[in-house]
Amino acid sequence: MTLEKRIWNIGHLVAFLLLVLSVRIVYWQMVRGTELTPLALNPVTAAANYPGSSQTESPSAALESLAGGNGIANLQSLPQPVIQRTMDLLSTITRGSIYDYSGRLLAYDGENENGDRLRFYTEPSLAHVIGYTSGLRTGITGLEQTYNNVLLGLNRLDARFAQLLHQPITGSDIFLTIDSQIQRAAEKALQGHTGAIVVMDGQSGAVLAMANTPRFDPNQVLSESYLADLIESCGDAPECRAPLLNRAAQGAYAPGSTWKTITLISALDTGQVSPATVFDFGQPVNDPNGIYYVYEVDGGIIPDPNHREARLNLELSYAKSANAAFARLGDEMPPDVLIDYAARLGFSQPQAERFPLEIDYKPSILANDLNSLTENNLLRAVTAIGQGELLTSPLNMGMVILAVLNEGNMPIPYFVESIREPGGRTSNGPVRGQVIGGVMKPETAEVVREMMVAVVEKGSAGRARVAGLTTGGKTGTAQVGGSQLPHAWFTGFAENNERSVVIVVLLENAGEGSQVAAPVFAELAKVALGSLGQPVEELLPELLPTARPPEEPSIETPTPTPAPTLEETPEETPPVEPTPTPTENPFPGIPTPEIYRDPSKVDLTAGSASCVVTREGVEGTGTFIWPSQYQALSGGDFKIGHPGLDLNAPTGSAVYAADTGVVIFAGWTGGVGYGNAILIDHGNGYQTLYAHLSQISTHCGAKVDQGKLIGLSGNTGNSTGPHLHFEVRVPGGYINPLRVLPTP
Amino acid sequence: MYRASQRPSRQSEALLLVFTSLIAILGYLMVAAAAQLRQGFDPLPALPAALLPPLLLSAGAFGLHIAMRTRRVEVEQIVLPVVSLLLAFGLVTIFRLRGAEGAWQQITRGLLPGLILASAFILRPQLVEFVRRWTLPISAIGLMLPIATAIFGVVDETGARLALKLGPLPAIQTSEMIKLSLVIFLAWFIDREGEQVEGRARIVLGRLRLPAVRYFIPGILFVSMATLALVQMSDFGAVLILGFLFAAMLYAGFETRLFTTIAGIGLILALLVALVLAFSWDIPTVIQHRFAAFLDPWSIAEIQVNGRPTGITIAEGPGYQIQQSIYAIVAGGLAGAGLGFGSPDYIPLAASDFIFAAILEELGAAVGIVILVLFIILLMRILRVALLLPRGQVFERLLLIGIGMHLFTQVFVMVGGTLNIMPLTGVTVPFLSQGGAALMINLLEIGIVLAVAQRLETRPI
Repeated sequence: MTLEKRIWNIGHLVAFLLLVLSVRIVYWQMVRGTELTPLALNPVTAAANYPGSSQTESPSAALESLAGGNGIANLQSLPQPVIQRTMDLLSTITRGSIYDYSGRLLAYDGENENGDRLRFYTEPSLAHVIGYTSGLRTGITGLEQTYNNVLLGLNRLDARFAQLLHQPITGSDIFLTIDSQIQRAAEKALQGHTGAIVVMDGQSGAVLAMANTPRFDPNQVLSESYLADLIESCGDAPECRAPLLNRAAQGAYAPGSTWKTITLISALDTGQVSPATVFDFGQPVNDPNGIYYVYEVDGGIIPDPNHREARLNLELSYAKSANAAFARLGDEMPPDVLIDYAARLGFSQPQAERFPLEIDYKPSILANDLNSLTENNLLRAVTAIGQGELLTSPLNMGMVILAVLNEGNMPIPYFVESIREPGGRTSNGPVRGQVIGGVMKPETAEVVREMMVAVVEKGSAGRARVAGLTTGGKTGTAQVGGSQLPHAWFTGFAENNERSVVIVVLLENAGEGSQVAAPVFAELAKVALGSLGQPVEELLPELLPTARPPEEPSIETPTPTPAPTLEETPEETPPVEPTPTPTENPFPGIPTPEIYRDPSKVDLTAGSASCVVTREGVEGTGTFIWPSQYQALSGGDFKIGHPGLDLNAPTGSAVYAADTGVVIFAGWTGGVGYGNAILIDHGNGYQTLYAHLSQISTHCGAKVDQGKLIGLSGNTGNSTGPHLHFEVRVPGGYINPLRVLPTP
Repeated sequence: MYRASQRPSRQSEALLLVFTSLIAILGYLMVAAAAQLRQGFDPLPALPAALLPPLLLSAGAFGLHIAMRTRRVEVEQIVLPVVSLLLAFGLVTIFRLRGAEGAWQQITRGLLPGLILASAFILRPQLVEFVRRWTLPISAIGLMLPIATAIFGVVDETGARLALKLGPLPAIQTSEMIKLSLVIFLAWFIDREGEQVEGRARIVLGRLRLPAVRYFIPGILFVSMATLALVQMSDFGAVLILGFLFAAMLYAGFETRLFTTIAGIGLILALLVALVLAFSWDIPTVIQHRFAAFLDPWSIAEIQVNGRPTGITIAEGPGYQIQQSIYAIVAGGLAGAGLGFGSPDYIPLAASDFIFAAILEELGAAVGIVILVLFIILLMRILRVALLLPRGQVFERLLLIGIGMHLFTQVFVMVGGTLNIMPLTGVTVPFLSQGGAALMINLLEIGIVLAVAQRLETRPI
């Protein structure tokens, strides 16, 4: 080999190796990039994985130590470089918002008085479901944690590139399956109790509501000692213990008689009993309190005070919750069968088969030791009636009913309906549509369903009956030992012609399921099937949260009335007599209104009392741009009774701020009829309103520039077709927007 | 197109140097402005004071340019701008990390002496011949210095002895000198004895023709003493580089592939033996730490020495350095966090060992890759000069190849350690890192390259 050739070889080697280095740089940034930054962005995991910190097995465990102050210490032990770079990165990311099923805002990023970036939660009853996040201060839980990457946008390729180029990133928004109406009703129903309520769609498994009491307020988590104070002030009182626990999914309760459903399923599915089976209870025991039957097994006596009859068929045994019948089933059934069906339904499942739920849940336990269950007949009999060593959560019991309603296939409960990227692309939630098939035979499911209906019609759950609906379920009264009252359970479903819902009610230490839990079920069934996804305030006004304070007076002073009735339609409406009330105009140069505002009517969009707004320094230019690319009128002109323009914007088209200003209202306007609306104050006397939106992309207090995307048009509120309703307001009333808009 | 010119103007080089000077000045100004902006002050008043160092750098580069012009040659107009650009990046980053004092230190202790030496060689290319004739004494000094450092050297914070303090002068790191002297020595040796080594094979085993062992004695002797000295100095990166240089020089110097294969195998074996000794020996725990840290920088395994726990976890030791480096790389992204707006201060030894990570964080992967490409260009140009030299000038060719390999190994070992391709060592990146002696030697090498390049009678550029 000549020297020349050798030199060439060396040259090639050198070039190759240096190019390998370049590739390595790209490797670190692209391949390992998200793994290394979210490590710092998910502080609980980071704190757990960092050397020197104690290993925490799950975020909920970390949460417990957080409440005790250990978690915060862990977070502060993160190395400063990690914290610094994380804060820098987080400040460039606008976290995506969370919406409920109908599009109302549940969680969004905003600023408080000091200009600090905070997360705001408009529906605190969802504290356990949505969880909370607050940068590195207090950790992250719930769906905020499960979908952390999605909400930060880091799972999208375009966001990864933006991160590389240090461009600001906007996270994706997620739409939940939650129905705010049912959620509010569930929280209201829990008042005065400790417990949990889960409501799910009977066919798809979509979680419509999940409420727990006691709970915390996610808006206050950032306050210095809120969580610690909350726990400390409660002490040992049972009614306020463990406010951080998501009882619906993480609670561990004895299920009581509700577990007889599972005993029934396993016995029916394997042919050990049939609807024709009749139980003979033998000789009753006479007691000063009355007659009751017993079942004896291995020296243990299981009392059955739930019925008087000496013989009952299977259906009535179930309906009346006959302990003796089911204890016998548990005793005589082959233990493997019971264990198998229990595992299918979530009890003592093998690790690999755990349900893919989006929130942390505690797997149910059939018994402490399955071997002892096989050998101990008494334990099995007691388990079969829902006591023994059983521990479960309301969510799990609800899943059993889902399997019954769906011909033996069990849809997995899910929370996220869809994910929407900033560009508009929508994708289905990842857990949506997952089903575990073949939990039981379809025939079994049919029979069990009929029997559940019988429980309500002929059995112990008479108080769960709702006129006009088909209801079924199982009551449960779980003994907890000692002098405590038992837990009251009701697990059931309700359906009308169009829809079915599964509702699980658990009230801790509340007494008998049939007395206490069943009526709650009935209330919720009415709400759930009556709402059909409609907005919260319209149907049941008594479900409104704490009464709204009187509206902040705008330029004139209206007298607040409790029933706002200002209507907005794109069609003709009965004309409202305007009462001109010229007031002193603090903004010289602003035109006088063409339609004066009626002071006797409350305008819920006049400014949100709960919104912290600093209006200083923000001044509109005084010239307006069209709020949408669609600039043709769709029928509603500016006239009395309709003080704005209707633009023919189809649902989902972008709506832009007509001028620079501050958002002083963004949200659902309730009975006023504007639907989802945004009101922007431009500081110079003008305000602009954008109504009937399908999505609000801003929040109260946001400073928006002219032309900024503030939402998507839609058809919400009192509207007969998709359009954008646009108003220009001046002190005292409204002017025709065409006067200030440029010619299209 | 080659145009013989009466007054060579080296136009391309001049234009490129203007470009690099602009980069130096702009970068410097940006860092100064960013420092003010980050604290909320007005950046403008700080700018004039920030003009001096980059102007000095440009002046030095132009000085070399003028020196080449006085030699009336048009050849090799790329090396100087490339080096100048690398120096600019390095100076700006050091200014960012260490402030004005750090930058001045770099200038006075490395840049100026190096430029002086380089211009000496450029203006008097006969010095190369001088080096050849005085190779043995030079090599001896080159060997003595590290040995002296190993015995009398100044102990730094990691426990290594890397610098030698001679009287009133500030401490000088000597490891680069030994590498250069090895290069010189081997180039001289192969030039003088090479044909005899190849021609007279004393041992014949079938098709194998091995040279007499005595011909390898000097080289092996040199390497062994150097290795011992370096081990004593705890400078294991230098050992690695030394071995690689040995193999590379032999590969380049001999026609017969066999010799170089033997040399390569021998070296690898020697390295393995050294590693085994290191892992079973008490002293070089640093190697163990660094190797474990290389394999998994986030490992929190406790470091044990001979089975005894030390209480130190990898993640706190060398693992911490690599972790910070990687966080910096990821945080930089493609375009960087911006000069002055990243957080490279958290990287330990950012100005010297991990300067590449600091550059990646603030200037981004784009600039990082550009720098690597610049090194490729530089090395290619050096090898090209070696290629184009007349056949008879073996010493010069080998010298250049050795210098090229020297620069390359420095870059590869250091950047590779930063990127976790190989364990960390104590090397610094040529032209970029802060380090007086290393920079001086590197600039001297560039001077040698430009001096030898003047012998080329071929196309300019």
